[in-house]
Amino acid sequence: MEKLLEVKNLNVTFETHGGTVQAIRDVSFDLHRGETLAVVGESGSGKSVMTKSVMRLLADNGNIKHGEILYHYEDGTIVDIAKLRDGEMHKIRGAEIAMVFQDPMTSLNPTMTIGKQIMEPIMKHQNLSKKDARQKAIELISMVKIDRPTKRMKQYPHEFSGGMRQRIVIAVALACNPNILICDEPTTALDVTIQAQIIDLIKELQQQTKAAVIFITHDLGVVANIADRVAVMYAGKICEIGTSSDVFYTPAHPYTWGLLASKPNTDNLGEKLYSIPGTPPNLLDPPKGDAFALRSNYALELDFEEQPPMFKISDTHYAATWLLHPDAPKVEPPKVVQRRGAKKGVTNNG
Amino acid sequence: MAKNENKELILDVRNLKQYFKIKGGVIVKAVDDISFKIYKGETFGLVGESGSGKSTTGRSIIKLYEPTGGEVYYKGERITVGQHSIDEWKEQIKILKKELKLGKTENAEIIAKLEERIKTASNDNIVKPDLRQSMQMIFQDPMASLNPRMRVIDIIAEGLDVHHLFETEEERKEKVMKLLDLVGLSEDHAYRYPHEFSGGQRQRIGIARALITNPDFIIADEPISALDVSIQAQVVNLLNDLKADFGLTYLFIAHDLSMVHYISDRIAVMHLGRIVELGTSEDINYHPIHPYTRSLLSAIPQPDPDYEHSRKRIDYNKAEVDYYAGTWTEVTPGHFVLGTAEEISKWTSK
Repeated sequence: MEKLLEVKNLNVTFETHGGTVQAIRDVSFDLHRGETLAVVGESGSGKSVMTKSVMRLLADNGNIKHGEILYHYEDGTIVDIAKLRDGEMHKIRGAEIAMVFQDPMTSLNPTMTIGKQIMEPIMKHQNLSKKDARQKAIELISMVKIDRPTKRMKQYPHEFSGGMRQRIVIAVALACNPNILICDEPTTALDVTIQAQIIDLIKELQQQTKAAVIFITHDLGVVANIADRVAVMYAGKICEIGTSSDVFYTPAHPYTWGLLASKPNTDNLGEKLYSIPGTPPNLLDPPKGDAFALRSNYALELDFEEQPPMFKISDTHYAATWLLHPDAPKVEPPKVVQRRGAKKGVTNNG
Repeated sequence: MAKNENKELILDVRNLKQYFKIKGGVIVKAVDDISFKIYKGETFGLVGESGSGKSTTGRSIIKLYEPTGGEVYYKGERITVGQHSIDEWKEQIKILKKELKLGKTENAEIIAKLEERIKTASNDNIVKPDLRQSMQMIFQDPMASLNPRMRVIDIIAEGLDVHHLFETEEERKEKVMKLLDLVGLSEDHAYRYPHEFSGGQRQRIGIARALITNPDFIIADEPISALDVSIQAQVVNLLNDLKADFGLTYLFIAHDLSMVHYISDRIAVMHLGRIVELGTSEDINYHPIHPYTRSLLSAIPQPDPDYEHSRKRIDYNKAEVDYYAGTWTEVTPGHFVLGTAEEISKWTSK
């Protein structure tokens, strides 16, 4: 499959009064045309910082310290977003890579009509006349399944419900046919029934446009619905990455085990919920070894001393835990996690 | 409700209404004529989407608002009479008095009765100190509900201070320390301020504060929805442990149906200020009747890709169901639905 984005050994830091926060620590992944990569993690895991780095939207105190973010244009040229000048970045942002944020009210301008807001990027990036841009905007509004598009053009964001606003934000993001759509918790502020509609819409539009989607969320249910591949982030690192089936049915990292086991489902009713003890580490001073070791029931001595590399489990599945080292002792994942694999007819050899 | 016959009734909500007047004389019926009972030792889940009135219900019960209509009984004693009823009685007295002047002497007795009724109602409406001790609340946002300028020890001890529940400073400190330990915090946390804690820890402080007065009944309003997945399980387990240890009863308000399913014995589903369905956790999750409940259940994503790829969402069209035409009907023992006889037979035949 055609590669669109390659992130290699990305390190991002933030200068704060307390010191340097290592928000992203050596993150690498690829993104291919037409696929959906879900990035899951808790607050502070670095998932949003990672996508903001790709969009070059980091706050002033944020720096890409090290690493490459390679974007592949359709004509085959490759640019490193991490090193682009601001002027060049303008050509990518919105046109090649677009973003949908969590809160649709803050990403829309309350004093501007919906029509103007959709036409703005079209006119900027596609050199269309006002008339043509208007036509395109009307098409986009109907594409995100809002009725009476011509009338909607003249309305303001406050006249729309939360779900409708998010549809408009998606329309703005799709205005220039981007190759990559980054969705940062696009449904978190919405009710479940509206969330379901927005997710269906994103999936449908992706089929039509063949864009690649990076979908950031903390909701594992949403991930299971939308993702082709899943990256699990913890303390600024990807600790496990694989196909949706790899991660949900044969997870390998103890943190992924904990996340999956701590959610109530039909399997663990009446049992005590599995819970991960403690809280995530402070990234002002990240732990020396595996960042999750302190909270893990499965930590080995080595975990406290040395960071585990990404071990390859299969062609699609990688995880960073010493448990995957050939010399590591065999451990059993929590029962709930074992049952997941069993349901799928695969064994989990952790 | 055969199963509950021998159980001790703790809370009895009868036809509760909570209306709000907003700009332009518009009346918002946030809670509109709902009734339910909560028995000692159970966890009663109240679910609904934003704007359904679930939080308002909790706040009306604990008397943060002055309910518009209906009655609330707590441990057999009436604690709330709706303002509308009192106003209505006053109106009746006015008319009766006019008639009395015109010679209808038999009205005198009715007037006296009504006046007595108003007097008892107003008396019942006064919040008694032991009610404040016995009924406590845990809020959603632990940052907004903890005073940032107070030390943890003083936040937790506030209930003791208000109700004069200690003799010596030593006793006060001892009680706080005991609770800190109980909710999984340590003694040295007592002298810190809220901003020094993580979200999960702050929620533990909120829980300790609720428990300090030795309550019997706790209203938990979205206590975990602001927390990360791995922390949610910790807090839910803590709530369950405390319930078992102290024989607590919970009203658990949430929008996350899978968590409500896990924690609750019985569940009520709210929509647009009405309870549309009420039953055991099993009834609601495996045998839902009302189309709104079915739609809500069908919208919840589960962390299981195979399930997700086959999940069919059921759309709900509010226009097809008239909540005012329906009556509160017990379909099977303990399982209630709001609907007309026709609607219910249609829903159950599906």
